Amino acid sequence: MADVAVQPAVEPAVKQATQAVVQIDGCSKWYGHVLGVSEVSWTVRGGIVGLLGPNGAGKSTLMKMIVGLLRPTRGRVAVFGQEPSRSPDARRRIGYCPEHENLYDELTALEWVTCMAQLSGVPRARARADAERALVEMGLQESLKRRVRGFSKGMRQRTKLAQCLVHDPQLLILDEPLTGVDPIARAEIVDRIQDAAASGKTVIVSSHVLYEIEALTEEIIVIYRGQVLAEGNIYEIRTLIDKHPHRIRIECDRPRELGEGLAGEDHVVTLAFERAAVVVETAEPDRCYDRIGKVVLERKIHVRGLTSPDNNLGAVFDYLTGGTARSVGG
Amino acid sequence: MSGGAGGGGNVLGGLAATWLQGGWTARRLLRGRMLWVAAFFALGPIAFTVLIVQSGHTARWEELFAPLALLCGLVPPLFTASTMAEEIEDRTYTYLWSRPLPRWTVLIGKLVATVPVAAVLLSLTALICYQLGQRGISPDHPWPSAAAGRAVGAVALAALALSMVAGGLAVMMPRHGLGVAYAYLLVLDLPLGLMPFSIANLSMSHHIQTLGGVRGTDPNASIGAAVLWLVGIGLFWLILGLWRISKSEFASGEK
Repeated sequence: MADVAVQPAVEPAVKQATQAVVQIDGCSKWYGHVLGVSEVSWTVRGGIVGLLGPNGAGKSTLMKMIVGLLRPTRGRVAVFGQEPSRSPDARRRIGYCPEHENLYDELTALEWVTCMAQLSGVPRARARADAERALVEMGLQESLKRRVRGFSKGMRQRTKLAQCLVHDPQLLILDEPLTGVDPIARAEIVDRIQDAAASGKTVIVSSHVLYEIEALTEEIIVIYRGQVLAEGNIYEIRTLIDKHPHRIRIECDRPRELGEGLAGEDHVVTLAFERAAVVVETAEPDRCYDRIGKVVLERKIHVRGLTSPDNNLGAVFDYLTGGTARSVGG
Repeated sequence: MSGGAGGGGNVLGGLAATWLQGGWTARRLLRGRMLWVAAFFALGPIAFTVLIVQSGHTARWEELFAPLALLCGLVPPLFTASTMAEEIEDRTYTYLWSRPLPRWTVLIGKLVATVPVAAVLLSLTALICYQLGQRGISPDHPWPSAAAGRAVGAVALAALALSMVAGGLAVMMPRHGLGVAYAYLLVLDLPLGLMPFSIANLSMSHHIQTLGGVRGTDPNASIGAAVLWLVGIGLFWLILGLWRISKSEFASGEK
């Protein structure tokens, strides 16, 4: 697995010059006999970095080590040069949004975020105003004084993000922040995260969905079974994926006729027919998409849906692990 | 966002963090269901006292205090063990321990909230029982001197000590925090109190009865020794809980 690692072609000089926000050196974490992460070394100097991996890959473990909730079994984690599990000063500069949705249901959103602000050291006199501002920025102005017991999943995600941002931290650790939110909320949360990064904060965000990460950042680290498989630019990894046969599934009224129109193309590797769809495997996705468009127009085929089964994390893992990760995909 | 210090303000001291957590834990407790459940439990000793008085029997102090001692084993764990175990099981501790505060403040903060609420509820119950029971006093069975004060003192101290035990046990075994605390106090501690003297000292219910003026198993037991034993047993479990909190990561892998 190690030989498929993708390194960024050129690391921006500005990043190299700055001090590492997060420095992980040879970190391993075991839960008894269960491996959490293995020999991870990683440096984050700024911007938004996506942590990509299927469920159980070790993303949350890595994030918990960065915020000081877990101590590495072996190796060292430093945040702003300090060990987070031992340094309150390092934790003061971190905002953490865990993957679970549990909050204190008996409190209102404003009460809870105010408490979290105070615990992070925001003075009592300012904490309520800051909490209100954080919640409003997350679009919860109508629900400030509602108890969180009745909140939907999306509202809970926003409340969690508000508590994460309320004390103006320099490093944001967001564990699956887009899970379970509707498309509108998703777009708003993506905007808020990008705003935070634009204001100079470093953001580490995890997801098991490739397009979620793509919406946020180009810099990614791919983690699988506790090991870092690749690190670098998302498009470099995509380019590598695109060099390998790429599947496109077209749902239409006459799949066999569409397949006939594609069969003679030199870039088409295989064709497979389903009841109301055809799945094309192609070596050149761009040319294939062009050809599909032409055939559909020429033959007046009614297309109901066009998806790429490879357009997900499973494809990344399949490629990077040489196909052994098929069962864990996206 | 706050436009302030860039990375929060100052790191809170342990005392301030404890106080802050105590404040919102009390708020949650007063808004939650546990208070109503505890109030329902408190009706037990009151109903028992009313029954004795109404039936015309002599109201003996030993009989009236026994249900109060039992209530002491029910209410403090209900508050402390459930809030602490819930914090760990629901993983809401992740919001706290990722912040710049000492870990021990989470458990002590819970006690700051739950002990006064439990103490007030138990004391009120004791006073109501005392007031109702007075109608059935017989000269043949005099009550101990300052019975009301002793009852209130006993149940208040029991609230503190049993909360410490329950909190410690909940941290040690969060998955079944309340069940383990009840098993310890009702299945192990109560029978221990019936054992010969030196073993009975390990029983909290035994010392609560001594403080309340009930001298069943050991007529010579002193109040001072009972206080020391009670607080000592409570501290033992609390320190175990604090040690576990400082060491444990409460994680068994990703979910």
